[in-house]
Amino acid sequence: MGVLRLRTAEFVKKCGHMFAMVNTKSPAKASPPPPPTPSKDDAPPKPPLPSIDAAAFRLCSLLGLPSVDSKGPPIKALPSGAGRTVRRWLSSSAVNKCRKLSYGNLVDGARRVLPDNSEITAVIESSKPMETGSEAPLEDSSSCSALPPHPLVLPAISSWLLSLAINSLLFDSSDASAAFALSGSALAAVGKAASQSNSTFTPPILSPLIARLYRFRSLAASAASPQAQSTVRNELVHAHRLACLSRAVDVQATLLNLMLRDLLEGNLIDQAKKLSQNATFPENASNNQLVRYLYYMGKIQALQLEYTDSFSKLSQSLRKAPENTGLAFRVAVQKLLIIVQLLMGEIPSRDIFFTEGMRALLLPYMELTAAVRQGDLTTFNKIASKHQPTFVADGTDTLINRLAHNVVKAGLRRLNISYSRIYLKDIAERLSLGSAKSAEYIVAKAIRDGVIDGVINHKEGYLQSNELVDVYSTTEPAEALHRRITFCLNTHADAVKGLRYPDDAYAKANQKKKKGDEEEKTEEEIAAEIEAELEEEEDEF
Amino acid sequence: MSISEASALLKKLSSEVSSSSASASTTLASLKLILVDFDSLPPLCLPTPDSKEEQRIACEALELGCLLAVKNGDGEAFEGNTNQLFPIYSSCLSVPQSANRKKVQGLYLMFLLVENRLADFHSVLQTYTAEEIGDGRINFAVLLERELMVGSYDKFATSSTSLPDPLYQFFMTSLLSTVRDNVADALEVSYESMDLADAQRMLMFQPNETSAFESFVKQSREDWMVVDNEIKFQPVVASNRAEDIPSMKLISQSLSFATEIERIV
Repeated sequence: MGVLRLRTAEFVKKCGHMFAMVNTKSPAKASPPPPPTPSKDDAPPKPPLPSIDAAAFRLCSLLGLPSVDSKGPPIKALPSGAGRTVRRWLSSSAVNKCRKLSYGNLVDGARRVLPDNSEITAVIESSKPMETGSEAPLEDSSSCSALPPHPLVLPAISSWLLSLAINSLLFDSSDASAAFALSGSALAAVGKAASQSNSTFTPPILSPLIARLYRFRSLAASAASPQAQSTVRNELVHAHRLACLSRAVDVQATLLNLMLRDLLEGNLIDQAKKLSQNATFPENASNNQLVRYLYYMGKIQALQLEYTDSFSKLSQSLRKAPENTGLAFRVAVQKLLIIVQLLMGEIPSRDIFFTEGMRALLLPYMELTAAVRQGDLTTFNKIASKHQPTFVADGTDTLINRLAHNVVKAGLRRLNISYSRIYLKDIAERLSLGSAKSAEYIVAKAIRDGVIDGVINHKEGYLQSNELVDVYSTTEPAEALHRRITFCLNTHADAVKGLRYPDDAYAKANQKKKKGDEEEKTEEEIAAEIEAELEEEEDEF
Repeated sequence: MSISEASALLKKLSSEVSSSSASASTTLASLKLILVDFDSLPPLCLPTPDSKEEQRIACEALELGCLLAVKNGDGEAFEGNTNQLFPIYSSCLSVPQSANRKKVQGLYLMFLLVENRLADFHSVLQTYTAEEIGDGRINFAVLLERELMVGSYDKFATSSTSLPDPLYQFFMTSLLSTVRDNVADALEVSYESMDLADAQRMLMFQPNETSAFESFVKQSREDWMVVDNEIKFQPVVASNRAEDIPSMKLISQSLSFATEIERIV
């Protein structure tokens, strides 16, 4: 901890000007009039703080900021890892509790936590929805004895309150256009606060919060109207460019994902692909954004017929997705993954259809898989049309239409293995291909594509399967072994590269080594002494 | 003012395209020059007072341009026009459906199929609505793609007799040669020998096109041997000789393992 403080101090010295904005933003707030504080001692059963205040103070304490009136030198800047701290704070339970607050409570909280006549409070108040009568009662604010939060965190807290307000409008009152309008003024207010500091860069403490504001804005826009969506599209591109310049990793990752999502929703696959080719996803973005990005990329590649790449992206996304939440997301990934696997000509293993909580949702896909495995075109078509509405809702219907061709392939392979010789007209009948003539073309193409191995006898009209070749007489096993060894070696190399050491480990090891040397020396000295003594004794004799 | 000018030109263009007049392309070029000044079109998409009318004129003009290009058998011009046209479809949602829209959409799919740009084919298909795909002119291309993927080439032959529009003929002709090549590739590996007459039928040559068939075999399939009215496809010579062992590759693999293991230990 001591080391951390020390490094922070150095860091502050180096880039004090970067953080200066946070100070200059509200000089008046640096010395707020201490509110009439009833002494804590004579109020023994202290009711809990209202959740907004509690969350705000939690952030202060996480960042190591004391309350304003505490003795000691005032802290002028935030610690260097502030961005990460904020990210952690956003997923803490104190913050999550606030999501369920009513809008009235939010306004009330903003009045308490933010300084008087703050612009942000006005913005939040201005879009308060009409009273519905069934308003939730305000939280008990009688205990609000605490001091206002440290001025350094005020920008973060005000943008957080704004995001809460948009969230409430969007999901509780489901008023997308109001949420959209509020998100616009929220971003403007936050941007104005940042621009007062003469710095165009997003301070790291705000990065996760601004990302969140943009996410809500995009969600609200897509729910509000197509016009809103097209304005947001331009805004996102502009903001993404700025985020890239200022290396605001959270904003950058979130915005890229939002743009991809927006394009995919509009079925603009080509544009989405071009975007992903020209924009890099930041390496140290949060896991949740990475998982989303992988899903979008997998989807784009699946639609562009790049099944192998898509498969690896999607399975990575599924593996990295959080295990206990986000079931809907995991189901969506799993559905796409099943289809992509089928398109690759593989049959997904049976146990994935029985994953906890997904069973009912994956049922149509299981029936589909069974039909592909059987290679029966009629059953396949029946199931595809039976679950058509589900598939359309999942956005997988176009991919499923492409599967017909794999069904035929699977059926052919089955016939090829089971019969050494079969008439073309029998093939046509079994796979419902229409005519023997069309079966002949299909079989010929399958042989050329390497799906089956055989020779057609045109005169007699049958397919003669070739004898199985002994695989072990070819180089195939050696190549398979090579592939696996390379994989293991790569894993090892990655593991070595991925090792992390604490910053002072090297110094410690050095110290230990020195100490060890000293000890050894003393041992040597002792040995020398003993020898000397012995020699002396010998001399005496 | 420019709108009235543009609509006059559009009328002229439409009559010229339907009568296949030679001056149609110059009319289209001058019309496109006017379109450049319309701010309501992508990429600006500004809400000008006449935006609806402007967008309608632009769509119809470019659609006519597409049809004209197909008539002239000019694939490049066709693609250029569609590249201008499709952004209008996707960004100006209020444009009314014109008579030619679905025809152009279907033709574009055919174009991508001919160019063998299947990834683009599917991403364009993704942008079409279910109602559009249900239309005969678009569905034709969709079904055709599926048949080609599965390999039921005989259905290709039958569908080329039932075109939804005479303009599709241009693309079907270029597709036929692609299909013929595919069939020839497939025949090579899946048959040992085949009668000339049968091969002619399989390769979709009409019975009276024997000379065309013979020249096709001679030109593009040099390794086929014709013996007594029968084509012998060259069998792949399977050999198990010492040179087949990829010794250099195996040595380099083993060496790389050795260095890696040394590094680990």
